[in-house]
Amino acid sequence: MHGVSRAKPGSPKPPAFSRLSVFLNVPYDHTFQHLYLAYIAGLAAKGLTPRATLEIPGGVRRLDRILDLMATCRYSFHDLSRVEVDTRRPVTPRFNMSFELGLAVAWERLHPKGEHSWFVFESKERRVLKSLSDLAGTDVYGHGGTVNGLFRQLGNALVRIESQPSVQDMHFVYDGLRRALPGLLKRTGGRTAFEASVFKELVMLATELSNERMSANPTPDPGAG
Amino acid sequence: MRVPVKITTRRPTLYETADLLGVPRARADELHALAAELAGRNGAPVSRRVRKASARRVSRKARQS
Repeated sequence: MHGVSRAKPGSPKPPAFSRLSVFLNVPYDHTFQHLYLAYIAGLAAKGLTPRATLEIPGGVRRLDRILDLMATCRYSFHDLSRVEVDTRRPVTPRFNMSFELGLAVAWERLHPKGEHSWFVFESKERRVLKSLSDLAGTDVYGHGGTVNGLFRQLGNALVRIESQPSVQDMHFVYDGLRRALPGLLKRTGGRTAFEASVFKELVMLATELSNERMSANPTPDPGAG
Repeated sequence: MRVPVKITTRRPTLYETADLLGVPRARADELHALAAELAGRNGAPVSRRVRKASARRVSRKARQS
């Protein structure tokens, strides 16, 4: 069983497990928007479906929502580039991303049959050795805070994926999302890209753009594994 | 910890993604049209465009040989 069996009667039903789903653990702030779109574009180009806690309706404790969603995903991607002190009052370090990474590590250890794999991304890959030294020995994918860097590292992290879109393919999807975002915000009435309805539409659009792109420019099948 | 990654080649369709995310299929159709527009096309079915591109490649090779 892949669900987290803590759901109370009447609470929203957790989504179903999917081998193509990716739990996306990234900061929801405006300065991260370009990388947020790039994650959606890059993962969709790889044939994966990003999922995020913001898409799950309220009414359930947030921690339960996170665990339920993580349990449905074969992979999780954790971006620690904003694990820093938030200078707005009260001045506080941001723990959410590293906390959710810890949940994923525990989830993977408790389900050792290859049901979950996690990846860590950072803008400065060596910084994590200071901010989260428990990760020593773990591959951390440094993207330098750039879209190109992220696309390159997504390719490295998922090097054994059978579908191998090029960085240009990922840019094609990313550019489409950027152009469509104002219209999607207008249609949904959203104020930011970090809202449930906007996120879902971005994922759908990225899926369709990447499917069209890959069917028009199929890459040679490198073989399984 | 790194785990060897092996992912199926079959990409999710737009409808499968819509069902997974709980988005109505009617909206998926609208997003299909939007994707075609963003790609600079008129929304012709993908299969037709692929066939046309394939035919162009064949005729180009025929001219070269």
